[in-house]
Amino acid sequence: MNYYLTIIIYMGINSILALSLNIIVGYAGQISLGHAAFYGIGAYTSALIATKLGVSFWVAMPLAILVTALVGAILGLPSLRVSEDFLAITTIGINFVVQAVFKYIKFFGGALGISGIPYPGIGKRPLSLLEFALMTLIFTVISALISFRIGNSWIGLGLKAVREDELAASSSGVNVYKFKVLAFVLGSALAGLAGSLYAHFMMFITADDFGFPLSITILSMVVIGGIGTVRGAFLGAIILTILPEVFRPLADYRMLIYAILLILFMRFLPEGLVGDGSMIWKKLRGEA
Amino acid sequence: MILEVRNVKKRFGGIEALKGVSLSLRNGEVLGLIGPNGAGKTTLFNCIAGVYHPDDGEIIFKGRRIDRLPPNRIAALGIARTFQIVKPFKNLSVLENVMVALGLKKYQGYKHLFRKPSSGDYERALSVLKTVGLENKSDEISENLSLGELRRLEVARALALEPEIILLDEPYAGLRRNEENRISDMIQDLKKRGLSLIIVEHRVRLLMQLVERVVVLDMGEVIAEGTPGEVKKDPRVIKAYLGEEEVA
Repeated sequence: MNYYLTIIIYMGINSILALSLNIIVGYAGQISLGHAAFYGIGAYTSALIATKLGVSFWVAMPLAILVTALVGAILGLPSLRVSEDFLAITTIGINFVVQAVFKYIKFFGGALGISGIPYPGIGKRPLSLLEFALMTLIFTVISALISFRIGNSWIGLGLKAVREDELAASSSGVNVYKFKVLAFVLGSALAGLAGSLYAHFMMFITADDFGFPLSITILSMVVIGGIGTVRGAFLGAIILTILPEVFRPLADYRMLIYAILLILFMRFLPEGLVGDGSMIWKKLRGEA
Repeated sequence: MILEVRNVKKRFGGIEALKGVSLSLRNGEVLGLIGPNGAGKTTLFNCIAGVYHPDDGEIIFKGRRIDRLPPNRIAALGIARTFQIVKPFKNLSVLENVMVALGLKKYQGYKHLFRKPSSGDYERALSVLKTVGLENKSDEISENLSLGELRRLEVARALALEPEIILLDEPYAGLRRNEENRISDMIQDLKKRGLSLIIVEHRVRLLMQLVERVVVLDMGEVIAEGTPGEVKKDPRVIKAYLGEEEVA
């Protein structure tokens, strides 16, 4: 039972991560290969606030979201200057730099990471595993609702216009700079939430938890599920959480498998499994 | 005067694309802008629309300098444009393409950003599509439209901004005869609505039927200006076009 609850918690955290990256890559079309950095910033901020100030998860989590959103605005600035391949490389760089800062600066715990992160509780009583899983699911649903709202409102239209054609968007009255930064702020805020959940669940984090391979994994979730859609981010996160559990013997080849999957999907099924325009999604809706 | 371009200069590296161009557009006027390839017509459009900022000179819209503003601000002030090489939001539906432009005022500040478009907004978008004859295609993904339909979608997107001026960049390029007629009808309709238009066009004969006044650019300079009848006879114009296309 505990094993399954733990998997559900991972699924929830990964879903929030995929949803958060989907805002940046799916809605706004700003390729990011360094999303684990924002996840890490959320986790480290929450962990540091909780351990150094001695406050609980409930105080640390909102602050972590706020700080990550702020850092997202700053680290999103390169997207105003570079795009596509160059932005992809820049975001990889951001991932490595952020990870190195966590690893080599003493304030962030150095190579030993941060331990003794308080587990969430109500009053003096720590949450049961079931309660933690339920809480994660609630946050997952909230993240999905936020994503839906963004996708269906004026900001979603503006973000998608930027994704499709920056010059046409700007000629249609969309402030391209503002919308790109907004995408990074919103996406980073959700990544910060995921990071905080992770830190307080594991109670121990190191810089290696937030490396480049994880960024690729998160991007794989979004691409495999169906880029630009909430259901796609969910499905991708669920598949890529369960897959490594089922195929434990292949653990050493995980990155290789993700890379191959990414290439195959980009080439043959760019809409992903259930993205707009994918055959499976059309069949499910009875259109084909 | 609704728009005045005063002595605008723009250079790219060693090439002087605009060498001090001046022109003015009267309220409700349809102005043709012609000239051989590389004359600077699209560069001038891009300067007016805020894509480029002129190196020198001024652009004044209703008494206000706009030559340092970004494209989205200029769109908000009331100058819309279409693109010579069509730029639809490919993966969005035809209706959504228009919705993006309808959101113009919602994108300012943060108050409306997270609100959903109302049913009234969708109706407005549909009525804009109706004016260009695309209402039957509203749910189509815009990537699937023909070139003629895409050109009309560009105009629909421009109209959704509720502008006072529309800059049309080669609205006929690449179209078949029956599509050309639709575009001409549409431009006549824009004229009737009291919009001021500047039309860049290579197809001089089509253009001459639509416009009241023509400005001829060559090598980044205005070489002639007047009614279509006057311009046709201007020896400098004939010389500039020699070997290009007969002015008829």
